[in-house]
Amino acid sequence: MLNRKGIRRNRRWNFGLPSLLVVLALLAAGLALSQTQTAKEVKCTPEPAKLNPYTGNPKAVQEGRQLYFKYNCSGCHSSTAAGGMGPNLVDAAWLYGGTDACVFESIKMGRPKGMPAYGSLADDEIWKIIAFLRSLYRGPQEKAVW
Amino acid sequence: MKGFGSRLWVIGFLSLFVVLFSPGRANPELLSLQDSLGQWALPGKNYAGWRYSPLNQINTTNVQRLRLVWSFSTGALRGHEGQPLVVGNTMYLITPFPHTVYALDPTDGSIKWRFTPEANPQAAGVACCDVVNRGVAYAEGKIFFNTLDGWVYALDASTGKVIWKVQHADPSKGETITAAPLVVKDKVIVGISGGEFGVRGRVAAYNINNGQRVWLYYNTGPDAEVGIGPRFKPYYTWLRGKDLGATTWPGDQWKLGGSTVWGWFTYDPELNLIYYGTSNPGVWNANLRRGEATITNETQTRWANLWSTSVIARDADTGEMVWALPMTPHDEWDYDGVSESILVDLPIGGQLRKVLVRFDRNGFSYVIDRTNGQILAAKPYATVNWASGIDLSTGLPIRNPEKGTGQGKTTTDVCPSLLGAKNWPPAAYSPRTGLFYVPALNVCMDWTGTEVSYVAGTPYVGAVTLMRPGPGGHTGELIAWDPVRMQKVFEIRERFMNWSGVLATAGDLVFYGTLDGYFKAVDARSGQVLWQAKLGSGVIGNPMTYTGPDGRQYVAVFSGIGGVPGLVVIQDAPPDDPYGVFGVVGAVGDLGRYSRQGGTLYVFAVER
Repeated sequence: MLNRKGIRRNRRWNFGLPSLLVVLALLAAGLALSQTQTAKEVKCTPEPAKLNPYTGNPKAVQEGRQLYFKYNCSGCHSSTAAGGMGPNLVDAAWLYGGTDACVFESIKMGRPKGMPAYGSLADDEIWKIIAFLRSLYRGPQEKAVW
Repeated sequence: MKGFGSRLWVIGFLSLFVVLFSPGRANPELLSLQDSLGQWALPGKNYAGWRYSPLNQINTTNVQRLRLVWSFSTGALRGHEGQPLVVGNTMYLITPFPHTVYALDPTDGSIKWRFTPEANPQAAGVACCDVVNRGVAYAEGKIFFNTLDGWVYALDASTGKVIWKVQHADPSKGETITAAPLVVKDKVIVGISGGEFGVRGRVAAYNINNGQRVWLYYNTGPDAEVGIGPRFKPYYTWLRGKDLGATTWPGDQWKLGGSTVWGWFTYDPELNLIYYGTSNPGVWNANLRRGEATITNETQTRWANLWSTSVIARDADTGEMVWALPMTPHDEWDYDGVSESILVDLPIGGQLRKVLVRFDRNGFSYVIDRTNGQILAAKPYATVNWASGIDLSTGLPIRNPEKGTGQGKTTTDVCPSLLGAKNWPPAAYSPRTGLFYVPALNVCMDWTGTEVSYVAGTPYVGAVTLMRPGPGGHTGELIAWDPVRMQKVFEIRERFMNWSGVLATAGDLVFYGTLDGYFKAVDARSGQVLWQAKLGSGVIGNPMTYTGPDGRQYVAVFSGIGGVPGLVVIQDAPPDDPYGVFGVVGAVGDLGRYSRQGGTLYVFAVER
């Protein structure tokens, strides 16, 4: 968009620099906006972080299951997290990223297309719910890199 | 000359004023449109909800030559549950959320205008049963529609420009709107959805010209808020008493009591009554809705959770409740009363009676006197085992104590399942055959009550459910039902649940669609399938028919899988985990092999 031709034309109109600045400012604003939007969706660590202290811990998985029901997660995602009103949480497809950090943030902060924010849950409770979800994973093993 | 001209102008202005502001005008217009041969101006074709067209250009002798004339991709992927309208020379339709309303040429689908309202994406997270919309309404040159995120719009039917909009439901509280509105006189009647989110069901009327609210009443709570006053005369004595909408619940549970309005409205112009069904009571976990451990035939009235699962008759002008009748008092199985009440006059006991006929989710077909709410007949139209019958002296079901549900308890093999023996897809009535054509389900379930707490804007359910095909192994049926003899005349079995509405025509044809994408035409008398076509996606829309400006009869239907069974496909639920999608996978887990997402309107006519 900002090719030489455009700049030349601006120069001829004799208010080239301010005009260019406006264009740049608009572009920057647009970029910032798109960055915020992107950030909202994948602010979490994109690569596997293995943050969850409870992954594979049977007691925590059991507690996570109880919390999953208590906080009505089952109402949207079904009793075995196989999907319902909300997405299935047992395969390798994650709308907002599947790493521990991403899933944690999805629960804590919510997501724009319907996932409510469970900001009042203790971090520990969220990690146990995630441990429960990991125990139900049915996708390919090579994609189980959380 | 000048004087005469200005006088003419004044007369013109005055008559325009009269036309615009006289309250009754929309009524005669719609009353005449509902009887017109080739128009389809109300969601159910007429106010009585017959979904019957007097057109017979397409009939049993030529339906084999039915061919696709045009099709229209809506660009939307989620479930397409409504029906188009055809008024004048324009077809109007709305897509699932985020919605677009289209005005199309009814002969070739070219676009006259389109309108996309702003959308609050959070609403998708509080829509229990897919982000659907069941259609627009028309009156006085305006198109009315509801949005999932809670708005009611009036558009100029010729331009698509917004005339007014009002917010009616609040998604942050779990409220949405999925039903089609109904225009009666100068009011547009609107309900709310959200029975799985602890909302408090209500219905309101807005002035069609300016969007001002004329009345609003809740379906639970004290009499004043429910619209119960001196005119309220329910037929059965146990329904008479003060504030039953609050006192038949423990504590303040009625404030979270569901009882929403998400099905079809019908209207009797002579009685000036509108009819609708209310949803399940909130919360599904029945222990939270009673003051004792279990419910018996004796205590079901004490904890009836009024006015959930009820047929309600209200005065169209004032909104006052005139009578009400619960179908499943103290519902323990999500036997939501969404089914439409279809208005017919039937010979009963040697007399022509004004009745309404409904095929309730609880598995019983009811014939009810629509003037006063008396049940004249009630019989199962599907496999039912939660009750052995309906006591006509009290209107109460005779419950099977083995099928009651409770927290921490698993109740097995309850029929019908929580999806009902029929869900929202509307039946049709043909005055030529005197039969109802019912899109039915044949599914049973196990139900385990679980602990649950209310968190605003999250599901408020408290049950783990598992479904399976009912006797015979199929999950869907199209049933032809004789409402006088109260018996089945024929049935067509379908592998998948019948989740599309039905159309009956004077060509003695019955049209319906299937989840695996077939659109079928059936002989209305014999039940023989005379024609079928496989469409691009599962059919959960309601077929309709009209005459184009070219004089040709067309039949139109949406294809585009979704709704509760379609969530199996939408969420890619693993087919081998029967608990997926609230246990629906247990009944139709392989649906994803037969149908994928994608919305298209298909329009057919007989080959020339």
